[in-house]
Amino acid sequence: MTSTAMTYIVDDDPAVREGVCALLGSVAIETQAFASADEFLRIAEGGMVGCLVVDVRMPGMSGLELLQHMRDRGIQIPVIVVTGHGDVAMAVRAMKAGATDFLLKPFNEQELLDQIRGALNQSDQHLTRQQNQEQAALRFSELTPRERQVLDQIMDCQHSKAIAYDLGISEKTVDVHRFNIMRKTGTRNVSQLIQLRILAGDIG
Amino acid sequence: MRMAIVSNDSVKARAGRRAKFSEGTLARIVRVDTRQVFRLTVLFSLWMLLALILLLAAQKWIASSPDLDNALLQQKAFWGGAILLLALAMSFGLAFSIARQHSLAMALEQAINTLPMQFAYIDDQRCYRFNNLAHQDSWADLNQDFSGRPVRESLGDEIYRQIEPYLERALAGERVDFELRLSGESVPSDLSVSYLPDIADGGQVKGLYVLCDDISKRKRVERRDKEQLLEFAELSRLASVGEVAAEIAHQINQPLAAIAMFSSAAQRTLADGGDQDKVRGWLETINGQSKRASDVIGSLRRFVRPGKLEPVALDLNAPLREVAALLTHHATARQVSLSLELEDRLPPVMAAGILIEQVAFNLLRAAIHSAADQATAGQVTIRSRADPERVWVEIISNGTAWGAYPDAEDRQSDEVSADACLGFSEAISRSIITGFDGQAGCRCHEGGTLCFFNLPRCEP
Repeated sequence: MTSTAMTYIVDDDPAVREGVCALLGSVAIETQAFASADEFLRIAEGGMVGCLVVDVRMPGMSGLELLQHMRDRGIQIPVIVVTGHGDVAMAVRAMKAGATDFLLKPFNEQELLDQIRGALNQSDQHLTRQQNQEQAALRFSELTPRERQVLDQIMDCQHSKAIAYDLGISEKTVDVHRFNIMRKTGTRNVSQLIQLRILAGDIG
Repeated sequence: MRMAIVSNDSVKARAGRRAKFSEGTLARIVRVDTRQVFRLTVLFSLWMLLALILLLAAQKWIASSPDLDNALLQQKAFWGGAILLLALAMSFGLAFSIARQHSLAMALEQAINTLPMQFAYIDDQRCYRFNNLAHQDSWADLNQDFSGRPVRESLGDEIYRQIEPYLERALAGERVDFELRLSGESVPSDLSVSYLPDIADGGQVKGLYVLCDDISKRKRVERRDKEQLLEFAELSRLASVGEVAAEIAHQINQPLAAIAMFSSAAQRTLADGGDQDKVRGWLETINGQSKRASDVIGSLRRFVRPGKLEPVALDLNAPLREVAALLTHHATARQVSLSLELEDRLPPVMAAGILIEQVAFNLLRAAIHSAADQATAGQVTIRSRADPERVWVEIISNGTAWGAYPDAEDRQSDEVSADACLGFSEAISRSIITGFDGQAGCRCHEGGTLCFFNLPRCEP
């Protein structure tokens, strides 16, 4: 996983590409530029952090096609689409393809900066959420099969007695399992446990 | 100089004025063959001499006869009468022949007078010997018979100066055709003039026939056609620019966006006391990008500038480069790669640059669209070359013509009709090219299409 938030720029025009890099460099935003969508896809991976600024019209793969490829490969960073001659139809297509924002050239550089900052924040929040989720999933992965069975019953809001009856074990054993679940997941009460389980989703 | 346009009405009006030519001015240029006159005179004299001898012999015979009787007298009278009848018949024959020739000359003159074309005869002394009514009507302000008067006096010094070189060439025995433009009081007139030398058997030029036609109407139509073609070309050019407006906007927006970002970065860096060398580099880039934007605007301005239709010696590579620059982004946006293969030191052709740009624009745009429709990567090549007679421009697309122009009728043929391939807007292209004595066409080429036009090389 990439830890530093990076702004990726994909534009076939070297002047525009370098211009965006210079602008972002002047406000201490890390950048990495690519002359084509293919070049970017070569380094792109699922866990990357940051945002992407991409031109719509490029030789080879277009910006919108790149969005489609990213979606197919599960790359979920925010994307700002820029174009020299956009219209409503193109904006709609870009948003449908998963773009976060749509900018027309020549754009106000402050507008670009704001959008990039917003995208980076979004990416950051997404990262935090993902990390929490992964941690939660990790905690649940330590549970034994029997503890998982007990957890499922707890999630169904069953009392210890009912769980013991369902699983054919003593109530005391259920309480031991419940204690171990709380200990392993680091939760103090059932409500925290349920929250963590929801956060972890299907993982684990 | 005021001139009347010869029409059918004026031909009718002239019929009433025929009496003026009753003396037969055309007959004046009919030269009598002196040898024939001599032969006829000798023959006539011999006949007369023979008749005289016979008469004298008859008289002598009558006088010597001792017994003059009635029968003999009757015989002598018969012979005398026969000789007289013969002389009468010969005289009648001569008179008939002369009268017939005169009538023929009169009929010919009448026919020539009813012609709308001007006809005249000028002798080797540069004097009018004959002119038909149309010729005289053309110079209505003079309203006088030119016959027998010098050309300079009849037409005036100004016109004489214009025609004198041609007159001299015709009198030297050469057929001369030229066009004469007269500045009229209201509208200028154009004349097509032919001088046909009248050469005797010995090679001596006796004079010249003048054939003159008023082509003002035709010239006006030609000029109007040219003006309309220019207007059409202007409209077509503006429409073309409209079509690529989005691409041009993009071409201008790219450097503007770069300039905005570099300048903003420079401001921020300078405000923070950052690396000045870096800022200097950015300023250079800004300068380069402003030139880039200005080049795009310049090429657009050159393309839409009002131009002249008059052909000039032109290097075809120049309009091809202009058009390629204008359409580069149009091609890139359609994933079509554009390449130029222009022959160096191309011989010049006579053509109007703006019209050739329009033709190249239409062809190139069609080629790009055709190539863009292909499943494989689009490729368009612009090629120029010269052969000993013509300069060729070929635009090769790996797309098929009928893919882009589904109205092509014969899809099986290798030779695609230029009309079918080039479509409506390129019909202008063809008239522009043929207007400069060029040829335009289209054919299949290595699975794609090759559209070409050529123009004759300009003589050095």
